[in-house]
Amino acid sequence: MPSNGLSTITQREISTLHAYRVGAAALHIGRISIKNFRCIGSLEVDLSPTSVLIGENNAGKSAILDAIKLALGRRWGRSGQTGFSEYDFPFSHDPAGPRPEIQIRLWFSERSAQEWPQPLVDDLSDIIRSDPAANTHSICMQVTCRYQDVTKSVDPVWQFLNEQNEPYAGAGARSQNLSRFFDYVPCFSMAAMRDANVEFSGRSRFWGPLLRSVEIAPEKTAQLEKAFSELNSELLAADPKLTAIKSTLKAISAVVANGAAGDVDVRAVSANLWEILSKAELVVQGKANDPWLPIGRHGHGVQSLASIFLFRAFVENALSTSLQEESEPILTLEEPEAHLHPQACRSLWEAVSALPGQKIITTHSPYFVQNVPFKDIILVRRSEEGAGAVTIPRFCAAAVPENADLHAALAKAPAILRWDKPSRSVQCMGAIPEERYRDLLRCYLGADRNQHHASLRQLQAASFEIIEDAELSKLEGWAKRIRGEIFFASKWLLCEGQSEFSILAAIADRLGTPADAHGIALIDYQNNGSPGAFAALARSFKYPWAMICDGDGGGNDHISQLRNHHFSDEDIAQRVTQLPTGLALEAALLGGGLRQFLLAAVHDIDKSVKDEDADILDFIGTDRKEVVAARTSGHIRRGAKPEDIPDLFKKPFQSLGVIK
Amino acid sequence: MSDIDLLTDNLTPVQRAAVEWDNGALLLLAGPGSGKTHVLTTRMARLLLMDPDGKWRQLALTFTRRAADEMRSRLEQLAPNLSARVYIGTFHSFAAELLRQSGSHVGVKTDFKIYSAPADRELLLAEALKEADLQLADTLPAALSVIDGLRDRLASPENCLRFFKDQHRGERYAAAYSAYLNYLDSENALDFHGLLLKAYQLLADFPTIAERYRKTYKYISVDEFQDTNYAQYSILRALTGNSHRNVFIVADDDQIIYQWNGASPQRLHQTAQDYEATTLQMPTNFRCPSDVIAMANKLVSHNQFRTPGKDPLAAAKGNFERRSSVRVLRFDTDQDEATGVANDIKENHRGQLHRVGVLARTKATLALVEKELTQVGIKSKIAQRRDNFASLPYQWLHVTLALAARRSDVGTFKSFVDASNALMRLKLIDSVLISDANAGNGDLLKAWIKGTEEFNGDELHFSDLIRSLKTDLGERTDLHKFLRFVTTEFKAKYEELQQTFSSFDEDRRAWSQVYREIVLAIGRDASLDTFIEELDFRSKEPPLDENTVPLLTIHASKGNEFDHVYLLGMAEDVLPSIQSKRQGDKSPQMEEERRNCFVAITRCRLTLTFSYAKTYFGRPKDKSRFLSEMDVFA
Repeated sequence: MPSNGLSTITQREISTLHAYRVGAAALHIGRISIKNFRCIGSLEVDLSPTSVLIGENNAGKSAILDAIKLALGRRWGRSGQTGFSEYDFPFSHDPAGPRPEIQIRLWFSERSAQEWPQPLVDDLSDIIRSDPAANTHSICMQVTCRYQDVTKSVDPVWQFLNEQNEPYAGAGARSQNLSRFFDYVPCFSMAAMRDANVEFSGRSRFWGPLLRSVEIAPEKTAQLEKAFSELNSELLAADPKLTAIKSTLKAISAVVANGAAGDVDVRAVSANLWEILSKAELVVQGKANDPWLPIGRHGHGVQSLASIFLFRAFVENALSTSLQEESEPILTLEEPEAHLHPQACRSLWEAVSALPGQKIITTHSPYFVQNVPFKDIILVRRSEEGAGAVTIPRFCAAAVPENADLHAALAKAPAILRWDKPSRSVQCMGAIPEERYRDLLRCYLGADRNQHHASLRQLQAASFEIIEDAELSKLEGWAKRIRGEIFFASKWLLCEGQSEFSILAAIADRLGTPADAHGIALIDYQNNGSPGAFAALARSFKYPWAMICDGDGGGNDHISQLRNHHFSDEDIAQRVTQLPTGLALEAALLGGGLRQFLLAAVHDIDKSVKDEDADILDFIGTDRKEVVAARTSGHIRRGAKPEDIPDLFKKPFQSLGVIK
Repeated sequence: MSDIDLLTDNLTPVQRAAVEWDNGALLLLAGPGSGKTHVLTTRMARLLLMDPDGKWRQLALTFTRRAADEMRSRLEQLAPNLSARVYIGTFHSFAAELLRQSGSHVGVKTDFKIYSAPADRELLLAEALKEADLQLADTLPAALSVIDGLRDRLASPENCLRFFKDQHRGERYAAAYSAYLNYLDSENALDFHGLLLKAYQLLADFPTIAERYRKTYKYISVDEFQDTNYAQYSILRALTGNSHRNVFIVADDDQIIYQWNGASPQRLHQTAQDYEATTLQMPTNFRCPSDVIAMANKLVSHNQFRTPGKDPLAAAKGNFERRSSVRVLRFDTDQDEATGVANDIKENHRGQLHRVGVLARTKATLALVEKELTQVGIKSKIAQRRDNFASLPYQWLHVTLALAARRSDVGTFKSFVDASNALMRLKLIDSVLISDANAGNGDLLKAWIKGTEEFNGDELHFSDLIRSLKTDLGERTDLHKFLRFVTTEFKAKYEELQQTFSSFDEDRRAWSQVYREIVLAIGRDASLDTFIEELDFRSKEPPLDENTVPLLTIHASKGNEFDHVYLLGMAEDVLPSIQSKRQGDKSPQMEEERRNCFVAITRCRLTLTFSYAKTYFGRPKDKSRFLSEMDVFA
């Protein structure tokens, strides 16, 4: 799916692009591309050290996690135990045709020169690609899987790709590279459904191995087992009845045994240390004076949290025992917030961030998302073509021929533009100003200019989607409270403040398009940031958006902010509703069919206010704006008919496409 | 005693000093028979054992694949399980590996194929010239050697004119050179010289890539460094840069015999300077009798271009049976010489023929002896590189594997169809199968397999073989299973095949040797194209049996030793060659001839027999000056 309008380039997968993302010194997935896997047709997305996938149920989040798990599952080979199954293959458009081949690619890249430890580079030398310009290393692993119609078998192949994304020949094709590589990227997963009773039993994937990894010296084991045995005898002796039962039962062995009779014992306490350990359970005391209860007796929230910490203990233990010193895990977590109350959800981010290695998380919790930095958010959406993923773009690129003029043009803006030799393309890290854009156009004046100018036009448009770091960090601070909700909506409606927020919500109800039901997030931008920043964010994340603002100087100011964010006049005209010149919200309401509801709201507070525009507006002033708006929206909800709603207030909903 | 101490236990003091050399550049001047391979591998093992958990690697460059194999198997014994951290190979195979991995930066695709056989390359040049509509005055082999020479000097078509005296000839060659490169490019192929040139470009044009490899290859060793040419040395320099000094160079300037290929005594001096290398000498010879050592010392003292202060060889052994180890046989004609030597061998060495080595400056001399040995009932064989198998069944096997690795390569496919038709008595038509394949997924091998299905199974000759080809190579790639099957099948049909194809048994022995070598070199799980590359690179000559006398040119004798050495043609215009005499008595070429003689005599362990005749090709010739220089009097 084309993202950032760069379909031509992203198809070619520029080797160095992901150098701008990715995290620490160990191997992290910087980029993933998936083709023909379950609901995914073609998807390509950058991952950060902690990536959070948001999307509706069935949007494709789990498919992304599963693709990673399968690719790094260490179950390569011919055994048929590779984890791929028939159900992973989509059907071809031609029902009789072969099922399309699954392709998963993972890129691991250095962000800066010499980020990876030298021993890791030495060890994996046969599969490491180099970017000579940036002097950075990267690895690309590919899994392709074909479905054999006749035998109904799947046939996956793991390979490493070179700078041109061709499978290596020579030393890079040797199969020992895979096991060596897997040692550096141990992948662990935590599923969404967590039942502490299972997770903390000897059968658990996490608790069992942890207990088994406990090492007790042989002398100590012998000593303990002797003590258990004595304890058992003492227990049996405590009531003579037990001894009597034992001697009765001894008859069994006399019957069973042929010749030398065996013995029978009653065991209240096992004499085997592992048996005792395997039954070890977690008890938790909620508050200082609460009783100690087994984990299974606590609420879902405690169980869920405990499971996450158990997962962490398991991962840390698994890492310490084997693998390479430079290994860091790649963790996939599904809905870690399950069963947690909002406060716990919010603090969960800290707990999850503290997990070692790279984390790829799916969530349905606005509370969880509140603390997630924008650049770590990945929106997964499903469209006609299948699942797609969107992040805030950090760069964009255009493939154009190299020439001397181009290098001169790029040199004028080294902070945002550079030539990427391996991909033979211009790379761009920020919005391209008009003047620099024209410099670029002037590099191509030959017969083939149209084609190159089109590429550059696309590049400039895409460059506007890049949100620079300074602005992003401002937004991080402002928009914290509402961030959780707006990412779970499907459309954004920007309005100035709290009053607009309540009145527009009421209008939406009366238009028969309640905001929540239609996935419309109302964003009161004055309290949370600025209209330009939100509009830019909407553009980057590809949310349909509209905006309504006052007809005063403030409103003009907000519109000019959009222009500063490189929105065209045409775009602004289509998306922005500005109230008539000189009018703020209340004045605009007074001029139309909703006047009665505003008046009713004012009279709720003070019956003496005269039914005159000047008196009403005077009464509201600045202090009563919000309380009047809240009451007005109540009256609208109770009494307004669709025809009462002035066209002016319908326009934002029309531009969002929810009404005609 | 620790493993590491054990390694150095039986060494002489200077050997030990070399083995314990850790960081910095060392130039080890190692005379013939001084145990240099042992020192080299022991040092590599010691470095690994001192840091068994390290990940850094070592690079060891050798002159031949056989030398690399030898080093690899010794290292595996000295440092088991650690040898995977060492790349041992020739300059060419290392260049190929670099290009498979990082060649995309210089426009080389990772799955390029390598043309090594002269016949293939001549064909390529002919095609290239035809396509570019060019004609050269020289024959194809002569033209190729000009183009190869340019690449050995790292000259590209754009800057090669300076190597031609005749401007016009230079321009034609520049065009032909360029056409040849373009043609190789279009075939996604490189030849030997192209490997070196491209690898050099990669390392020189992309310093960060060179830096990457020099970091990973923490220690670099070069064996037989004296025969390194300009291109090879430039690769080493580009790889190490000025800062990487952990270079361990083993060389003997008295054994340079590839001057004609660009090796030179000066390079050794320059190398010592470039790397600020410490020099150690290992003059003690553990191989030759003491009188041969004395002769060798006298001989090379006549050379001017030697490392100053070089120690003479010191004999560690006495003489064979306490008498002179050296004889000189004199004859009237070169024909008499051949007959005489054959009779001498029959008289003295019957029953232990494999302990004899017959050496001469040229193949022509050897060919005469070969004939005469046959006359007296002794088998002999001129050692000669074979690029291809000699019999159809093994040629078929080779091309089948090549096709399995490159299933859409039309050229390979055509040869495969021809070989299969001949071997299996089929009448398949390549063009028909090619269009069948193009209609599907382009898999030519599968198209051929499908094509065989129209023949009745019982009538089919080798139908089992086709079945194995289908399941083990067609549907999956289980190389070793397929090869096991082929071996069994060929064995079952041995009588028939040997009767039909006279070289079948030779090839069978050659195959079994080359297969063993390849598996040792690359392991069993290497990919099919790595296997094919090794197979292409290696000579397919059969190993000698115990009753065959090896006949070798001096160049081919490099790295070998024999109990009894015969050196024929000790006459002026033969050794030294007529060409070197034309250059003058003090010319570098004359010095190279002297070194040829030095190399030849130091191959012997027990006895050395010189021979010469008064006439060669009917012309009177004087006794070789080298005999006098060695104070050898008949």
